[in-house]
Amino acid sequence: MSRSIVREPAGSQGKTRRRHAKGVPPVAADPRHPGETFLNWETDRDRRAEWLLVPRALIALAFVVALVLVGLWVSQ
Amino acid sequence: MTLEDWLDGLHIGVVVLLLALVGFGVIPILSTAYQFFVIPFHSVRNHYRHAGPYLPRVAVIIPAWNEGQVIGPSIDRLMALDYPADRIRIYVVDDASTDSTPEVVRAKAELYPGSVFHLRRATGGEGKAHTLNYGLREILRDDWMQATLIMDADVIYLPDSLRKMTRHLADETVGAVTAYIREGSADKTYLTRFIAFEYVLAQLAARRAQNVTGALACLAGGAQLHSRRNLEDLGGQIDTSTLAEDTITTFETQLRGRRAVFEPNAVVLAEEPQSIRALWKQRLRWARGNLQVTARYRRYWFRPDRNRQLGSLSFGLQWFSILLLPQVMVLAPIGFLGLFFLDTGIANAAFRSTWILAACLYVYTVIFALQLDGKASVSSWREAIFAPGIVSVLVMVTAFFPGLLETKIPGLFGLRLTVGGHIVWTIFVYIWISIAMVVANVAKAIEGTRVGFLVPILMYLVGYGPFLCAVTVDAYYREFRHADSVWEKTEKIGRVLG
Repeated sequence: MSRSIVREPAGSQGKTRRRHAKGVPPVAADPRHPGETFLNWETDRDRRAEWLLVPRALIALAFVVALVLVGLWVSQ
Repeated sequence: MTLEDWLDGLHIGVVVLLLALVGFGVIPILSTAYQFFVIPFHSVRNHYRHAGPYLPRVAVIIPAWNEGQVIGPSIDRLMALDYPADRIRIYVVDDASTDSTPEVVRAKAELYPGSVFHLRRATGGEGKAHTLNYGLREILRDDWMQATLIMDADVIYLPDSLRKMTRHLADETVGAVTAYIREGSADKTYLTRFIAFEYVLAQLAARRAQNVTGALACLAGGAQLHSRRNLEDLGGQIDTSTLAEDTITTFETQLRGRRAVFEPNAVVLAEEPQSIRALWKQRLRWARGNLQVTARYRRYWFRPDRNRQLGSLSFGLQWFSILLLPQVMVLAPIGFLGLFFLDTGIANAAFRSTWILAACLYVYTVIFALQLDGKASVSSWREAIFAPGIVSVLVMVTAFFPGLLETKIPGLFGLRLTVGGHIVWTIFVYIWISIAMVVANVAKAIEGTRVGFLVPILMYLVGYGPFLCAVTVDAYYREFRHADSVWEKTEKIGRVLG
């Protein structure tokens, strides 16, 4: 179940949707009433940003592998 | 069976027992490793797909006792949030303050008519939960409120934070949402930088893992958003019987079948203690609260049949790995030391395996965590590196590169460790983590004295983790003695950056 009660301010709806369709981030004309399109875009952006956790984990893992390799090399 | 056979059997038995003690020390390492292993899965197992544009009418409850210095700017900032102004009402529950709090709040109520309300308790001092309940009773009287934000007087919500929290309530299975509390003092000290890194680990990392596994340990006391239905299901009241009302609320929310979600992109700045004693007091309250929570929910731990998430093995291990860490930090060194006297070879192998594992986890967590919050990382990278303590980092180096610190480096200067010195060094690295908790107590004891200048040095040597373990030991002691559960407020003076 979900609910959506946000109304976009008059005049901003079409503008933000067109920008979003072109892949351009929509602009919230009024930050207090950013509009449904902007809010959806913002959530989508935050969702996609979570994928950065994967390369970050790989970078951290690379440091561990490097440490282990150095440890093995020194102990030989 | 000859006496020799019997002694051999006894020897083997004792070695196995000591290895078990060492193995006990490996459990928190593996538990943390698992936690960090699941974090990347937050890229697919998160709540964003169920979130939606939802801006409910939010009643903000601010419990306030002598918050005259911070409450005014907090209200101004709340009223300036990127959120429809007609959908926010602020209720400051004044817990019989004796400073300028009532005047400041009344002035704000005049400035923002219909949006700011001053609720004053005639008698206060009963604690935060009682103060919150006073406000909750008020806002539940009518049906205006669709969601409630419980916050602290000193915290500052970044402009987009509230709407990033409310979007998760679009999913009616979500009962509560919490945000990322970032240490935000303008005048940072080594201690606030340690706390900043701790919050990255404990929130941006650990709570993402909890989002993935489906059980949240705690909604931050300064940033918890509840749906009206969740609050009503909780009886419209916050628990007042423990020192961990926020954790109880979190558990009760989830036990009633609702989700509790951590939103990493909703950022809230908070002022944290700048002295060891103030931090000790705050964390003692938290640790005692956690012990009380552990006892209250004893029927759920490791019982997935009673609750799939809170009773899961992974959640239980995460919870008890923190709670029982002080015991681990005593028992594992006993294991190392006993093995050292019985069988040096086994002791060395056990020590190296355990500390190499710990070193790998330490490198992984620090590198990973430093990438999660650029601002915190820039200011706290030194504290991130030395979070386990400089001495523990050297112990890891000893485990990874045997002979480096005790033989090779001294050899460069023509120095050599004697046999006796080598034994003392080995025993020291084996039992250091136990000593670290004692030194943390010394740091607390000497703060404010003539040798108080040594406190930061001791903290870097001991590390922030062992310091928290020392606090937990104190919590055990006080709970064992049934010490008074007095809710002592952490002093806040408005040092948070705007």
